[in-house]
Amino acid sequence: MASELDERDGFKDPSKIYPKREYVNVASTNQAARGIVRNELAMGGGDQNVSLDLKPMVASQYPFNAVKETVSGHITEIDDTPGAERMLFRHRTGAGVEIRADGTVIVASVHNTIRISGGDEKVIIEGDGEISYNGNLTLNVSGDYDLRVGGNYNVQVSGDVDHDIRGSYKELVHRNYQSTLKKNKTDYILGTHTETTLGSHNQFVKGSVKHYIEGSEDHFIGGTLKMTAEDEVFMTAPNTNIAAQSLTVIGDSGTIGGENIIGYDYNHYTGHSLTATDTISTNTAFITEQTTCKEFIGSLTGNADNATEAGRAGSAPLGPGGSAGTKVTGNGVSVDTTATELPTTTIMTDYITKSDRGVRLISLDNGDVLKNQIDKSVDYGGVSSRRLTTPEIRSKLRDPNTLSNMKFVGAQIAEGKLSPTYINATPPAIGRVVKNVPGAKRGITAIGRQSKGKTKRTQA
Amino acid sequence: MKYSPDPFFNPDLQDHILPRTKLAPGITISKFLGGYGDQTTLKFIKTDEEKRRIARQLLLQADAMHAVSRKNEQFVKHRLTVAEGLYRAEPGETLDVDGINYRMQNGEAIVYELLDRKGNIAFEKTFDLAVYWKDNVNFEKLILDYDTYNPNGSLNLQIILIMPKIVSPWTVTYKNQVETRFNNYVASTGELVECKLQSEADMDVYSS
Repeated sequence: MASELDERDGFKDPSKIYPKREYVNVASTNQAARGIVRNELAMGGGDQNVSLDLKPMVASQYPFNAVKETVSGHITEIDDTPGAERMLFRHRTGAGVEIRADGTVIVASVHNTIRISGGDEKVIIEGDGEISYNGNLTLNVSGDYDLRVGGNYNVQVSGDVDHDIRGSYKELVHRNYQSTLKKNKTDYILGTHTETTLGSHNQFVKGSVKHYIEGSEDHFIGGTLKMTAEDEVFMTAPNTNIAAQSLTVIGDSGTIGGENIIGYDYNHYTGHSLTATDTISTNTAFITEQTTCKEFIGSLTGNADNATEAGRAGSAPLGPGGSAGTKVTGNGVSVDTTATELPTTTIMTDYITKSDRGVRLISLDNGDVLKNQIDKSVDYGGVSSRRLTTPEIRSKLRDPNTLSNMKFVGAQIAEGKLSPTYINATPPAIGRVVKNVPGAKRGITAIGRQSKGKTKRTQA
Repeated sequence: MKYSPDPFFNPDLQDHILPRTKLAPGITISKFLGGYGDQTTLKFIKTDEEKRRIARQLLLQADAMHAVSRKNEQFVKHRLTVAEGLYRAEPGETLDVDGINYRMQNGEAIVYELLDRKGNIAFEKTFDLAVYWKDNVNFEKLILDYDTYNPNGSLNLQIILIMPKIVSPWTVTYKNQVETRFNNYVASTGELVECKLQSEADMDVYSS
């Protein structure tokens, strides 16, 4: 009977909720109102390279802070403390809205945040923005998506980029365009590929180039076409045509012509033999030493030794005596000696190796200097093919093989990405030490009613 | 010991394992892919079976992460981030089979950072977190990892949490070992040691 009266006398809470643990035997004025505690939203910390930029605030002073805290822990605060004027609307979970003294508005959610607008939405931010999604982000735009960037537009993707463009794709770059590709590139074009270059087009290929063209290929060049090869040139076709007003085909050895080739030329200089299976037809033949033939039809100029003896040959009776002719050297006509220089081995060697029409010796990226600047595999001892940030280096160095890879470590120190103090094995100073005492874990799931974590908790 | 996964997050009950696959409230697989120390994707994992196996391993990590959610009063002003998640070795990079990166390939080991509201590493709270995990979470090994790798020689602190390999279906063996490393050298085993670049006394002299 006495205890029932105690519960109804106004000095005890019949529901046995109050006073809460932190208010036993102390003033029941809310601690937040007195500046003893500060209620905050559960917003966590910043993120990597993202500072929340919150300024520290002075504690609330009584009686400027009007605090209302419900049984379950919902809190509203309207604080007029000079220098700490703020408003707080906080759910017991820590979610809510806070307006701080400097006008900063914080909206925090410990679970999902849902924002629905029936009409338009306008967002104007006068300062900078930093957004971190530590999960995934999907942006669905039913209409057009217009992005205008006044400065640079930087995109870094660690995985792949897939563009599925169902319409056309157009790019207009007003200045230079540079792309670096470390692996292969494949283009599939079902239609026509047209490339127009109004300036020059330079192509340097360290490996081979192969063109497989099922149809025809046309090269129309307004100026000079130069083709040289350090080893060999093959041009083969059932019908090959080379035409020029002035044609030079020279070599110090080799073969020109074929079984059914018909040749036309002006003067022909043959170093050794000139053989015709059938006939040589000419107005004059100028022979400086000797000629041999089975049958000669026609007249000779002069009297040869053999012709004199021929007059006496056979068993025929001697005819009327005649005088032997005198051997004379034919010199009937003058020879057209128009000629160019004989392409000897020496001349051809000079032509190929020294003249401006000779073979260009090709050596691209000698010593792989350019390649190694792009692909860092060699410089980095095979650990990575690209330049790394310090956090990435830290990740790589966790592996003992990498840690002992002096080429990798040396390169990172040289690039200023890794401190030379990485080798120090002993910390300069130590603070707290906590031993690992084997035993049962406390667990992480709280059981029972809590008051901001300060009541006794039993965990499973 | 038998691990009992929450059916809602059990990878075995998911049709497909994707970056969006949830492992704990507010924690998807992608959280373990985007660590700024070793960003990667799930694409390099060829088979669904392998993806599922990794998701099962990450489930243990997600539980440990969830324990430090913003509902935890002790770390309400800090953010736990994955600094190095699933690891993918580059072509030509040979990993030591006993190394951490090798285990990070399988989702068994994850590297965490605890950041303050300025986005900087919260050194003292990270130590507190290591102690909290030591006392409240089961694991194979917890490494308090200090280093001075930053180009300016400043101190860096991360926690490497290695979970045991799950033996099918859900058997795990927790060793609950703790270790402190400084510049990748083992500074202490069986205890967590707070490393500093200057002693408190030095700092007092310096500041005065």
